[in-house]
Amino acid sequence: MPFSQRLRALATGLMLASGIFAVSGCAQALNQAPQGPAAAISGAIGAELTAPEGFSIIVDKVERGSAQWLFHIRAHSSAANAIQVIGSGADHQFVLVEAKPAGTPANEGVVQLSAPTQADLATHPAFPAMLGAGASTEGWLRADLTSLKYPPQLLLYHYASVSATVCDNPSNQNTCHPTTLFSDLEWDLSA
Amino acid sequence: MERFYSWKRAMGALAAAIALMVSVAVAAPTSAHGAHTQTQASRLTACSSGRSDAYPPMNGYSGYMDLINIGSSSCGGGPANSDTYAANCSGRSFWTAQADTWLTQQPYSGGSRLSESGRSSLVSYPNDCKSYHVNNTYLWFPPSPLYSCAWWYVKESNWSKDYVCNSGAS
Repeated sequence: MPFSQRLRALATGLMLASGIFAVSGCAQALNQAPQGPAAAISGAIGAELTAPEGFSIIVDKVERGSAQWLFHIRAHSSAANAIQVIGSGADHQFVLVEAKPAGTPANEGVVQLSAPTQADLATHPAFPAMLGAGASTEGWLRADLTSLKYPPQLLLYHYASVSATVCDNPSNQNTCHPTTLFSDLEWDLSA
Repeated sequence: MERFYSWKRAMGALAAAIALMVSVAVAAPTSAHGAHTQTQASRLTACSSGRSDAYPPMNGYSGYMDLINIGSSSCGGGPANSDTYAANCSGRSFWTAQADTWLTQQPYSGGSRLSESGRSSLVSYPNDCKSYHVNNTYLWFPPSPLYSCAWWYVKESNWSKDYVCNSGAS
């Protein structure tokens, strides 16, 4: 076989091999329909919900006033290391969300919980930010309702932040921009 | 002279093959089965696109949640794309959803998937009626026909929908 023919044969072989790789390289082991996770991440007040970091949370009592709601929270860790349950940024936070109508901007009607006021601390000790390895803890957090227009609907715990893209029209990439969403534990307050 | 042109043709074919392999090697790791949201393939002009929508039950809440898959092909030998989006336009402040996205020639249960995003994480989508990109997959040198498909799961209602497909990637 002339050298030029050998080269053409080699080229054809390479093209065929790369084509096969492109078509079948990722086809294995992908045909199983995914299943939802087993640990509970949503429920009503009193439900024990579990964060992937290895701790569970029970919101077992809500004191509902006109200007503030106080939540009694218990947490238990099954992790080997201490966990910062309440962070300093936007994630690892509890937030109260009002029953806002469809079309309301994402950041409206959401209030982040904080430690009870000085007046309440004596009878409502604050929920601690840190949870020791294998430890349990409890305490209170406060939601200020004065900025809400509608009744509270959900209590969320942001256990992770997720970088995302939001679009006015998904068929037009010019209408999209980056944003941040959260993975949450979720207590339905109307349940 | 004939031998010279034959040599040139062979070298040209070899160069094309190497270029093809390099582009596949670059594309394959990101179009493969990653566990989370992927960066979209650089977009060439869409030659065609298609869309499918799934609407989960609202469990008594007003409005709707629109779970969208958009398949698109590219002109000029670019990749075929499959993108999923979630839009909450309901009276519930947040719905928690996740998705898987893939390209296939067999849009039915058990069909071989040529490129797949992997499941996204469970994310809360606010009821601002905007479309949030969930995940994406793409395939260079797409065969024909090619279908763009999605699987959806909504946590609060324990609702799932499989093989929501369209032919926009063809």
